[in-house]
Amino acid sequence: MSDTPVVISGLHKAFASQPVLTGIDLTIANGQRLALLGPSGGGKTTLLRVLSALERPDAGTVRIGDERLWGDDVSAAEHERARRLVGMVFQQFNLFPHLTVMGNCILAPRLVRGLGEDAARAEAGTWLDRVGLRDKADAWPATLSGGQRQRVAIARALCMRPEVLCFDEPTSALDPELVGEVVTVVQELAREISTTMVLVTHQVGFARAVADRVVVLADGQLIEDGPPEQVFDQPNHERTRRFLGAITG
Amino acid sequence: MTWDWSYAWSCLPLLWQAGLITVLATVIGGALAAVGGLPWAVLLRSDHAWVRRPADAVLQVVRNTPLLVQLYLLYYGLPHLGWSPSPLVIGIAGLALHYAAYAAEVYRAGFSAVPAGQTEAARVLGLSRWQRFRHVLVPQAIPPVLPALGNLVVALFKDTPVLSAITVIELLTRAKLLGAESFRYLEPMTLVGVWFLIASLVAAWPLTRLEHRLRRIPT
Repeated sequence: MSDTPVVISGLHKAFASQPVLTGIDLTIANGQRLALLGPSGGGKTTLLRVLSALERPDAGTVRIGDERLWGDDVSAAEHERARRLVGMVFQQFNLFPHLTVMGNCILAPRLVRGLGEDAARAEAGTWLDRVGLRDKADAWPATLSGGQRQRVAIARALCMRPEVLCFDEPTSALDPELVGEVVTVVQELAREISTTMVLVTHQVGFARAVADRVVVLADGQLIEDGPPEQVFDQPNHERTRRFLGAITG
Repeated sequence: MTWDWSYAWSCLPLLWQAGLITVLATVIGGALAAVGGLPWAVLLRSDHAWVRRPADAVLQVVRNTPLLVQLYLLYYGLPHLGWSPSPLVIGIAGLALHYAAYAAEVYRAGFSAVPAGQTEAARVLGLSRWQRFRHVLVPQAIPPVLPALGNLVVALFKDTPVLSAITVIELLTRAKLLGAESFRYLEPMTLVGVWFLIASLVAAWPLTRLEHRLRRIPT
């Protein structure tokens, strides 16, 4: 496994002159499981979207291993190489409805990694196994439950062998009884694979189960950073206490 | 006036020939419009205003002026530019241009209906712009608009008599000529009406089948 820490520095982003990220510095060690928490509008999702190259920051740099994703005079080729290292699991799954489960998993490996059909299918099969959906390989996304769709989306992302896998509130669109299966799959993956994970969630239980580091983002700033026990049980900031109080009821 | 079967039969060979012109104009004009509308729709969705605006301006001009005017402009204008194709070629080009504008509008609606998350997922997976278009956008945008495209082809088909204005003798014009020669309009006009009806229904059949094939995917 190559050593590919994520180094974010001086990151700024505003939407229509409304600042969302105001100077984020964050280094994520290789293989770390980072949970990103914070109030709505605090910038969590924006940070994740900058990291997955869906959003261009106004200022600052993002480096993934040796490649720069964002920064001054980053060439298109280097940006592209850095982008390939990052995978993303969306809140709304975003599976391709016109492709089967297997079709979803092999599309990018074939087009982007240049794998042949058989090799792509074989690799997708092992990931579908891991998320417990090998028997659904030929099913259409529309016939699956929300939890199953999200597990397919996780397998699809892993088929690109990302160094960093981002999860944008992966359980927020799910019915409550389906949350458990996705949490379990992410938890198992966190134990078994060495991919760096960045998880945005509102569920303290999910963060505790998966993360070894918790960062709280509020008003575009990092206000808390530490192991889950410390952040959840002895937060440094009053703002964190209020936020945690609000989401845990 | 009573229906004369022997006269109706005698009209058939000439009507058949003219009918082929109508079919030719419809098939080639419709295919060019359907194919040309797609890149036009892509221009309409461009991120760059200097691409989008001219594409939209031409679209508005073509859509908001009568087909007849466009045909006259092509018919009398092209020779001034040093190019004198046959009236049939000009007619087909005119129909294609006119209906490509409508097709572009239909495709644009189809693309707009694909959720932004689809493009984002494809981007994060590393697909290039062309790969996203080919493998993610088109397969989701086109099937829902096929019925609308089919309607356009039928409309184009029924517009082919306008080509008579630029001396193309298609089906309806041939029927008028036959009527004028014999002072009997009932038979040729009835035959033309029946012919258009049957041709429309026959053409609709493969389109409906294509739609069914593409609708197999549950959504």
